[in-house]
Amino acid sequence: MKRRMAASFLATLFLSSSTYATGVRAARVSATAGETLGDWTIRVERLLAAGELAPRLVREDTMIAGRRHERLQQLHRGVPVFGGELVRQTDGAATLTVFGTLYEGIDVEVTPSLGPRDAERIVERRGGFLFGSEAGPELVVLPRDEGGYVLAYRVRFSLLEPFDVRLLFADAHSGQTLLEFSDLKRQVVGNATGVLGDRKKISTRQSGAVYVADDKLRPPVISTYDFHGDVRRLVDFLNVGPSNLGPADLASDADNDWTDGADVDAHVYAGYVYDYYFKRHGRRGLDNANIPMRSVVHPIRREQWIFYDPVIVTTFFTNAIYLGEGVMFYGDGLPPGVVSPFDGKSWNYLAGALDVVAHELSHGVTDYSSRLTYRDESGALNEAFSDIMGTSVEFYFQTPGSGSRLAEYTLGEDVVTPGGSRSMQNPVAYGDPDHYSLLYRGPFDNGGVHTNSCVASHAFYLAIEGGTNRVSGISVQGVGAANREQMERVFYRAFTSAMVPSSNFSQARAATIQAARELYSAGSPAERAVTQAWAAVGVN
Amino acid sequence: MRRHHAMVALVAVLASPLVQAEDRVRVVLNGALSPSTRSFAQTLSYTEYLETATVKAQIETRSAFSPDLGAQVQVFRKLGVFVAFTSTHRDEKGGFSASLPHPLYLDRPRSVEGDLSGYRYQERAVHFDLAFGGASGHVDYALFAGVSAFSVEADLVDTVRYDQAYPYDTVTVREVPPRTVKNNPTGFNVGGRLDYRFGHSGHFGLGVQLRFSTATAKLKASDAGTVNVDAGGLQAGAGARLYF
Repeated sequence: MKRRMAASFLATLFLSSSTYATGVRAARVSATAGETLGDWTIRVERLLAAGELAPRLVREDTMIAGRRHERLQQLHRGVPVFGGELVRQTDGAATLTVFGTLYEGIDVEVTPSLGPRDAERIVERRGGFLFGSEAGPELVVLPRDEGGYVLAYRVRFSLLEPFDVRLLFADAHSGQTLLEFSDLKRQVVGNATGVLGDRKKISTRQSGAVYVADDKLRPPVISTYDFHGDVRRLVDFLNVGPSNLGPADLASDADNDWTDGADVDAHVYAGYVYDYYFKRHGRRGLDNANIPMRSVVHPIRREQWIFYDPVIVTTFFTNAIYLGEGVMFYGDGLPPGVVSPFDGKSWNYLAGALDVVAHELSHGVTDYSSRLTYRDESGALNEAFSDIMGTSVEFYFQTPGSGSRLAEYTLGEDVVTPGGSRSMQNPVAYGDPDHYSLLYRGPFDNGGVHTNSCVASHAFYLAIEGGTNRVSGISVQGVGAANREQMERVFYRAFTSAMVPSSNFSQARAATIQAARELYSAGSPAERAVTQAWAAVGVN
Repeated sequence: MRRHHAMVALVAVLASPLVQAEDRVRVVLNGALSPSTRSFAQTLSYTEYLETATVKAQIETRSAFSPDLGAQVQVFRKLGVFVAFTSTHRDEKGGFSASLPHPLYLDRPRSVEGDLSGYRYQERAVHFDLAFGGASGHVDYALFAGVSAFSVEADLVDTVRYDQAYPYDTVTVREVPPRTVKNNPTGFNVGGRLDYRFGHSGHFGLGVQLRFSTATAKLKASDAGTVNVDAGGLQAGAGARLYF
């Protein structure tokens, strides 16, 4: 008798091993014609009659009249098999297609040792809550990745810190967690190719059958709208304002592998700019309260530039604009091979330059802080702050160097070629002043807000890199590229905390020196560098 | 003829009632120590946020006590057939390091490392041996060698579950759940036994036993990678002997 027991034990040992070795067999069905379709038509009817399939959802075809799509759930002795489902398309009595998956070789008893309440307790022990109408617990047969089938409870539950919705499968006999994963479908990360052909990740949201440029990974709403060159849509938008942007305008992609560079870069770089302000300065978006950041791309197709007058071209084609209330607008530039008759340069999609995106969004930061009036010296400081932050964002995310997607002290060089539109290192090379004595005092460009900005941004450059001003001959001992962060923080603090709408260059000087003292102490290399830099550019 | 005898004996051990012949059968009941520790490495890769997440684990199984039960049947003079079963449960200890892709940026993985806890290792083996032995007074001895059929069941790292919050530059590991995987390798074993029998024809004795067994289990991880684990090892046991 004892030996019989031992033999039985040995048999059990090896029997359990062979059971384990049995994998999941699944019939992947793609029956669209011929004999295969005929076989599956018969088989589906037999399975329905045997109670191994049950209709779960029946939908009329919205694209072809008369057709119907039935979703048929696989059952094993009345218990749903997770993932086992067929979709049958019919036209009247005729079956047109059968797609889906049927699991085979299921040999699982369907009487659980545990009750649904036990499954709920598993969720409770995790600090979770049953979530949604399909929370369960539902008894299912779970095909396991490593082979075999298990009777399990499926539970969908939420966690609050951090928020997540999870799907859990617990063994209906032991309570052991067999499978668990996040069931939160809102946010996804996609592949993307930017204007310059560079690969990056893009944070999107699934909406029906497509993915839309709506970032759910960052705290604020960050969304990108594509007008597809529809001028009437642009006019409507301009007449009504930011509130006119709707879900139908959201840039979208069918497979979440985004290839429209303007859509991609406007969306991704807006996120980068948010990240920079948060990580470097602890700021939560443009208003420091996570105001939505919305970008508009493709206002007018670049190929149509030839039909518009110069004002339209320089406003809607070769331009990027901060419209207020967190809304940015990026022109398409000009077609490849076309040189602007106004400046002799080629213009790619404006959204393709990180410093341009950061520049525009920094206008939003100014709007919600100093509100520097956009004319004369205050306007030049407004522009200077955007150039300074734009370049800082570039240095934060890109490798220093000269060339495409490398960080340097030139504005827009990645999309305006050759050479970009302004230089903080050598303003005169672009016809801009590098000393206060050379300030443009005329009426154009609101008193030269763009060109005169270079005096302040050149001071920022000198305070980091050091050097000698061409006009004054004064040398500056910068904090060095390794300490770039110091000057970024000094200028950010001064411009967002100490400046007012009417501030001028002299006040900017005082504010930045004060910020350097507050952040790095009086007499610090940072204070010395910023003081010397303003003196070098003639601002006292 | 000898082969016929051996076959009969083997069948008798596995399936028939106790052998009736006097002193032809001895039952070996050991409490055994498996002092050796085993270590194995696992590298797990899976896709997360469009990039490859990599988890590297170094796992060590601890020494363990286990029961060792067997029966030997003499089939021809000093030659016998010895079948034994051993079941060993070990705790695993170890650590892991993981490189987890960032949800927002390419090529900026988050690094994390920690200890593995609650991992288990179970090894069962059936040894089919030919035994050569004899007796000198109250002392019995035996040397044996043969084939070992193992059933190895080990916990490997399944994934790394973690919490993260914006800006997602770091993660907090919530759990590193194990995935129990099995494999049934075949190996060999050699060993010896020294027993003391009470009385000249008593049915009871005490003894010690040493066995070395080995096999390589190939465990399939969740990413379909294979982790090789050395099963068996040196086992020292002592316990009761029953003679029939």
